[in-house]
Amino acid sequence: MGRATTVAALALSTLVLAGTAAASLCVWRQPDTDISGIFGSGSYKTVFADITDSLKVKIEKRLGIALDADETQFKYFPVFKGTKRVGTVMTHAGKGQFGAIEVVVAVVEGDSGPVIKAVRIQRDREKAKAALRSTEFLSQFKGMGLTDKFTVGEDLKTAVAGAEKASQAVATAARKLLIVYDELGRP
Amino acid sequence: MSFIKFALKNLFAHKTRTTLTLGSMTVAVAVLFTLVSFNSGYEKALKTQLQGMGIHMMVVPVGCPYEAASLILKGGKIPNYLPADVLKEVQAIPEVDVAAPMFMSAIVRPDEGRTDIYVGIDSSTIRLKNWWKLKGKFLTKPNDVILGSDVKLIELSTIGDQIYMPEKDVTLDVVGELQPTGNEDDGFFYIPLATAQAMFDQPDKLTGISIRLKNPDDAPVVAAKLGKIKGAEVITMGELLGTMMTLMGSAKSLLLSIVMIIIVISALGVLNTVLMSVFERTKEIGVMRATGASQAHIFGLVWLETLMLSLLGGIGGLGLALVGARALETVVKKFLPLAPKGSVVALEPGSFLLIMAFVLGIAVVAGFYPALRAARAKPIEALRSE
Repeated sequence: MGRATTVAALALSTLVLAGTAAASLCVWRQPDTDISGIFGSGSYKTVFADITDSLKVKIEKRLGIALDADETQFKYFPVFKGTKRVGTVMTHAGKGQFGAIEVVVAVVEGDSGPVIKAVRIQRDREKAKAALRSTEFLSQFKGMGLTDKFTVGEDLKTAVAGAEKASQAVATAARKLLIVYDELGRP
Repeated sequence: MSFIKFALKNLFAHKTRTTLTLGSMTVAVAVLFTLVSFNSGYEKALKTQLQGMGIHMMVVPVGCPYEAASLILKGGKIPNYLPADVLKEVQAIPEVDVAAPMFMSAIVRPDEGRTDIYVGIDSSTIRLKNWWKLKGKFLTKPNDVILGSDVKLIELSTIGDQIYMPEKDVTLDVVGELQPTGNEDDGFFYIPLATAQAMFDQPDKLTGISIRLKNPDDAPVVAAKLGKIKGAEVITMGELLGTMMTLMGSAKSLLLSIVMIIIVISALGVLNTVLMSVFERTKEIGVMRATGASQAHIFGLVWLETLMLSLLGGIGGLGLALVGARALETVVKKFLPLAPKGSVVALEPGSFLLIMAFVLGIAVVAGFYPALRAARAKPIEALRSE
């Protein structure tokens, strides 16, 4: 390989590696798979909602903890079957025990307010990865609403002994998104 | 009434038409000026950043670095590594101040849409990259990890936390965080060199050695010495900078060509405006000729109108560029693959003068035909026209 080619290749590699440095925090990574798994089928659109200072105060009061510094805007994804709205999906990145955990939460309208239809995990580094993604753990969230505590050890069981922090991270994410959805006026 | 006042009066007799022509010229000049300023600023900022890095050259394994980078990003094993012994040979060269070994590999997580890049380093990296601002402490234990600033944000982890690598069943302790550097360093997990080599089953192997010289002028001498090492290739930062600029040059040439075309189209707009004005003033020109104005006077007047229209458009373009360039810079930097720190737009008077000369040059050509046509009008025929 010629020297000029090597230098050009190294320069290009520098650009390639530089390009990988930035990554979005919490995108919806596999919408088709999630929609098919949760709703059977459907389409979705993306909506951005700004969190104003007054809204932030309301959410934090109900949540009991502060929103993350970068949570000045939330994305939600209304899901449709044909023209009929069948639910809403939201995503969240929270701190687990061994790195970030990204959660996908599907919300539907229940008799007395919004309830969770399904919770999925789209990214994690947990040692209890399998238990955390198990149906046994995640199905506990189905039907939970605004009046539930979402507390591991009380109304939720841990995914597996030793994974309490990770399990609670998933529960907190689900509750946060449910409250945000409600405060946004169930858009 | 002076020629300039007369020309201005003629131009603004049709405010809408003149304003639209001026607007198009203003935008074209502003875009060209911003583009030239961006190119100049980007090159300067990149050069400053590369020079500021304090790395004068790199020793890499013989082979294609692009292929190696692609393989690393896909989590594959690169075909060639440097034997660790090469480091001793490099360190033995008297002109070398710091030689920092590195082992880089990646774990791909396709279901999560990204790649974790692990970089094995030793304490010489801190000496080499003395611009790094490290919160916490450097790597001392085998399972220590320092997080690049982007990694910290993505993993939502901080000093005292643990990071688990399921693919290697390794738990790392976060002991440090890098403050944002603005380059690829932000996206890496830094672990001890020996840990990285063992984790990816490449003991005593390196993917590169970064070198700082005691005197940068010794680069050719050192490059010659390093070139004798078997299986190693030497890349100086000067070569790297030049090639990076060449890679970007293609895109720059394309953009400049487009903007040049836009300016030519704007010049045609100017020609059209002045020509229309000449047609509408045929009788007036006839009167001027009949009352003593020479062909040269008429030619000069119409030509002056063209030049003034272009000059005003150029000045307007400068104003627009001064106002808009910073805002544009903020947007552009977000999309640049390698955005150097500091400003990437250098608004230089020299660039503006060059562009103005180009615009006026086009205006001279564009104004020639309307001016000639007006000057050649015969007074009798012109006076007869409606």
